[in-house]
Amino acid sequence: MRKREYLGQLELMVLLAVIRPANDAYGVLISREIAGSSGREVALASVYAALERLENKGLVTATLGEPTALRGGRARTYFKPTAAGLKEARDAHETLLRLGAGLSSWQGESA
Amino acid sequence: MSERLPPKLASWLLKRCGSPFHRESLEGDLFEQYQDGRSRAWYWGQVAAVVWIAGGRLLRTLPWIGTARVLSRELAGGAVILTAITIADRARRTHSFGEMMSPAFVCTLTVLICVGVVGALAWILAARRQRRAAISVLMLAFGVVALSAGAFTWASAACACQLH
Repeated sequence: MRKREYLGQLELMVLLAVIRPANDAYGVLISREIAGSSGREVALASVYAALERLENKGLVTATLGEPTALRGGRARTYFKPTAAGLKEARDAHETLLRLGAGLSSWQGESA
Repeated sequence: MSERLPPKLASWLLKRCGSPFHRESLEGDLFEQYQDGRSRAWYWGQVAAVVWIAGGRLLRTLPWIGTARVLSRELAGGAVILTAITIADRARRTHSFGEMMSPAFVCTLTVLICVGVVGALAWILAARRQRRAAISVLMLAFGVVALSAGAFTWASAACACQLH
């Protein structure tokens, strides 16, 4: 049986944030998506480190945009999920939903 | 609209220490956020994260056997130098061999010699790239601890005898 490599929590959040905005996911936007959804601000360096791992696993692809004055003449890199990335995100989502089913039995109980 | 320039040292660190993965885009993202009104402290925090992640990656890519070899060599060398200094210092301060061999001195020498032997053996094992080098080093470390404990027990017993 092939050993499956699971995504880390940050990798999964970054992958899902890449999937959310259609075609224009770049560092700042991904970081904002994560902060908006999780309430935790993530350092851009961590986002890029996760993106590098995702790109190495073939789950996202990168495209270089045009340099703009707003960014001091530096270009944006846009990230898009690959088919494998979409499948991985769906699988992870379904797994979490199945595992999270047990949470309903704990409703109303304090920790 | 006037352009706010980020801290120069932070920008230099970002260029110098950051990961090469889409470095220009990361610099651009940080610049863009800084123009949006983020503080200098925020910018420094982001650069610190870049340096921290790059440093961690560098450490992970270092071959452990090479690192162990360098560290054990330094350990063995340091122990030999300290032993020589300790003996010379003790000989200068005392007048006879019997006076020189006090329990505390013998204890210090024992510990230093054990550290030196462990360092040297670990260095040799790492140099030979033996597969079970880590286990051997752990066993030797246990030996050092046992020897040290024995030496200290003997020293305390000797001190107690001298007092009586």
